[in-house]
Amino acid sequence: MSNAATPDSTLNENARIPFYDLGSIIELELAEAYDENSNRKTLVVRDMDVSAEIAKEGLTAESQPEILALWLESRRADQELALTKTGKRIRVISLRVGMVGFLSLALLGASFAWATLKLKGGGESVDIITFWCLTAFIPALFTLWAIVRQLPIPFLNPSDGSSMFREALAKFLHWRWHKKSPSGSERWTKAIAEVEMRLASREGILGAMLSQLVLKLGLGSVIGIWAAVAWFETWSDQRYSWSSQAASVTEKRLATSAAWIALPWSWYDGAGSGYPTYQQIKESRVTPDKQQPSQGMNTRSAWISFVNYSILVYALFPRIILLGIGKCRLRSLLKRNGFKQERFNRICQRLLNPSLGFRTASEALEQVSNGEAEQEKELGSNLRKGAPEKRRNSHLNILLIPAGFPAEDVNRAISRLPEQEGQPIDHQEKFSLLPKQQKELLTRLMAENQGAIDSVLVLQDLSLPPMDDFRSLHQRLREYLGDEVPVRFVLTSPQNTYQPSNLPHWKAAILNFHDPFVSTITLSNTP
Amino acid sequence: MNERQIPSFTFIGLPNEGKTTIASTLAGNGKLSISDKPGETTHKEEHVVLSVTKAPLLALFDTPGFQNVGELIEWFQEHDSPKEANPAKAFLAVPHHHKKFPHDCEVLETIAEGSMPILVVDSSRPVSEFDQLVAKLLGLCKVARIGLLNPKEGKGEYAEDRRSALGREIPIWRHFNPFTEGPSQRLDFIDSLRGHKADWDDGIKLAVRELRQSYQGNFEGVAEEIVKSLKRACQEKVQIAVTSKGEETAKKVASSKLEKKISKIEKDCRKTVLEAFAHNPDNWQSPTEFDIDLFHKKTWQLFGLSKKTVVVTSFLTGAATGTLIDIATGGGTMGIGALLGGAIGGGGAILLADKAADLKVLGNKAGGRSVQAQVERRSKFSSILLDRTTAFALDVAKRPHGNQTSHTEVTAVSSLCKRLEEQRKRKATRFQALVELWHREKRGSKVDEAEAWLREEIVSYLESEIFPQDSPTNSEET
Repeated sequence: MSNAATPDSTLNENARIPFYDLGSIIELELAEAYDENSNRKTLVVRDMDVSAEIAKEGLTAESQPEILALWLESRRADQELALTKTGKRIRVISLRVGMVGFLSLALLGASFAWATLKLKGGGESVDIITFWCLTAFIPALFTLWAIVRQLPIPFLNPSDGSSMFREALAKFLHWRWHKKSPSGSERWTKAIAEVEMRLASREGILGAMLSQLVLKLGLGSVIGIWAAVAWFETWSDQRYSWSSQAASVTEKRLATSAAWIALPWSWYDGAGSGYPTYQQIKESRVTPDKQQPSQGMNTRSAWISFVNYSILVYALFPRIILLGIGKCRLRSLLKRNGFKQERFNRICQRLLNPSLGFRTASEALEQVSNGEAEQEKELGSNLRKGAPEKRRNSHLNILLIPAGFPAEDVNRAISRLPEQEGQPIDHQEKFSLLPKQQKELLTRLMAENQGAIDSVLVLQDLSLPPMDDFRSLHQRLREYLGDEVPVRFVLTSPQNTYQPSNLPHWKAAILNFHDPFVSTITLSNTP
Repeated sequence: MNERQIPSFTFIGLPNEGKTTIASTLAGNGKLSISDKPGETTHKEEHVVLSVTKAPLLALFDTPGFQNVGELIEWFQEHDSPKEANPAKAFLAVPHHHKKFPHDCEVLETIAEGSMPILVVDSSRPVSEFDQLVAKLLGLCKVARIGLLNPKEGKGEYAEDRRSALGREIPIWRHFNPFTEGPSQRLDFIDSLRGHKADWDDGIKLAVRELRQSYQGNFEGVAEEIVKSLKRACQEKVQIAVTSKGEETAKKVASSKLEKKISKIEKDCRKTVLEAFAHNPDNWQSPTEFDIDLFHKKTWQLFGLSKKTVVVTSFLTGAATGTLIDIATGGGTMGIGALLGGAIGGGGAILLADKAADLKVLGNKAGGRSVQAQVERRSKFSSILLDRTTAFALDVAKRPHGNQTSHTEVTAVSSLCKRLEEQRKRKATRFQALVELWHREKRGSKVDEAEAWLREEIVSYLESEIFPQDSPTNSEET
């Protein structure tokens, strides 16, 4: 396994990211989780055509997102999974939420601005300060908040900020999948539990998707406000005025403030037309002596431009820019965290290095139908035969077995491992729970193999729940093996003591390591 | 060592071995939150078993599961010295240990304070290195200890393996299934804790005696509640004016209202029973049969009535005085009577005259019409309600407190009424006589005596079912 994939090597900056939306992400995770619990035979048959396609397109390990996209496409065609239905439903819902939300907020914004104008106007002049605050300043504040939310400030934007969204999504998926589960199989139930947990490790991507949606909705409201203001100003000859009892609010101060606010567009549309001058502001003032402002057309036009530019510059454009930045951020997040997990690395390696040579899926399926047992036997032996050849120049796969694990159960697990793993075990070691003995073992292993350990498999007893000792073991493995050696926890249990209720807790505990080079294999241990 | 004044035991072990369930059952506390999820208990919790006079008798500690057995063992081995009498206390004296091993410290605190550890192990899974290390850890703590084999959801097939594998560190083992063991086994288990610390033997003996008395008190309280509820149900009446919608509608409304009222009485009675036995009414799950509506025919079949027997409604019409209906549940004869009554209209009054004569006819004075619903006095309804409430009370009293989610199917319900009939015919007749008195709303010493008799019968029934070995009633009857 010389091409052991690391996140950096598998995804360089030029890698093309195919279109991945929320539905695709969920589909990808579900397909992977479902495959994990599937048997090797089915996987190999399904992957034949994908491997052929990859070879035809000349894709390499650097194109992991594209390889996964092809793989996902093959899974979508799988009747048993009915992935398309799930992904489609998510896509339709998010599209509807986006469109309906956008239109509703646009309508709400327009009605709000219209009502403000009509109420404040009422046949007389419109109070320009209130109007400006409501239509430009407040939306600008919301935009500012949206900008702040995008900044990497842990205090304001904790990493689990989208947990509510994630939980809501998990609830929906739970409801949806349980309703549509293929014959309520155990494999399917496990896959659902797995994906629901994986959503937690997708917080960043889910958060970015949610933030895109919120930005779009906000954009709708700003566009609505702006459209209403533009319409009103075009078709009405309403005058603008202002008044204040406060001594501090003077014409001079307002003129200075307006000039500062208008700074971004003053180079294009200056004082008197792009924003009001001191004289125009003075003209617009309503005092007890002067109830109706003596306002010329120029003054009205200056006020209109000022409001319009304010909305455009402070509320609308930043949102559009944020939307663009958000898209780039999402792509970057997908590139960094979307496909680099060990579970996806494994799929890509499997597809790039098929052990059985190319056959068409129909040929393989024909063979399967001719004799399932024989096929399985053949595939198993092929895997065993093929593996050493590939691994001639590679390093070691080591299996660590808990000291008290019954010998016959260890043998049973080992006999099943190549079917799941595709690689034989080079070396086995028993390990104790005692930290000192664990350290001694790891030191010895590293010394004997001069640090060239390709991957480590650790058998874990599923009949017990995970404890802190397990976390310590993981820390110790990392301390001695380094951060990038793949560690696979083989979750199994002594015969007839399989406790499926512990499985989600083990997976959750492993996810909590936040270690991209850790993955799991679940082995049922029935005779 | 800060020795505890009353006998104190701490349930320790790996996570999800059933410690909370055992503590709940042995402490007789149904308010504990028991979960399938491992690691739900994060702090030690003390349950004090109290006497009838509320004096503390026994302390039982539920603790979180050990989390860092490997590191703990290493520390205890490194610091093992003959001079150190209380190694657990020494471990706790290291300041950073509380932060690093919060769950383990919670466990060790009780041991350091002198509570005797009871190692709880799931005897349905093979021995693992974890088990051996936990047993070893207890040995290093230098305290008296025993092991408890809990078969959890399996058959406990690895019980013997455990005894032999862990026997060196834990020489004494007890079996206890907190999911199935009833009050009798609960007391036996507590009694079996004698002999480990001489100072505690008398305390444990006293605790068992007091707990036994407490059961007796609970039986009496429950019997009183059942009798009270029966009386209320028998005397409950609902009167509805006949409107333009017609008499049939009024009858249906009256029947439905009466059913609701009686169901409410039964529900209240159940709540009191649950509280008397310290079960949590909010978490309680009855066997399906107890959840069926009291007036559903399945309930009646379950309690001994034939399939043909259903709740029938008989009625008399009286233009001047109103209408009275009975919810009659008298079986075949009554059903025929009702059918005939229905068939010949007013003639029904003649056929059922002997019954109607005993009933108060309530109605509107000004020639208005109304219907009144009441339990028919000679129906089997009272027997059904008595059986159902006592069967429920028996289930509650028997159910271990750790078993909050019973999915038991009840196929045959133990019937107090049948027992009364089997024992002596006159006892059953006496109950019917009491029902008759309640219907007539009689008061006085005759009623009080009969009620006291019924209470005694209920207590004796519960006693003999729950503690068959020392039931005085049984011996007396035989």
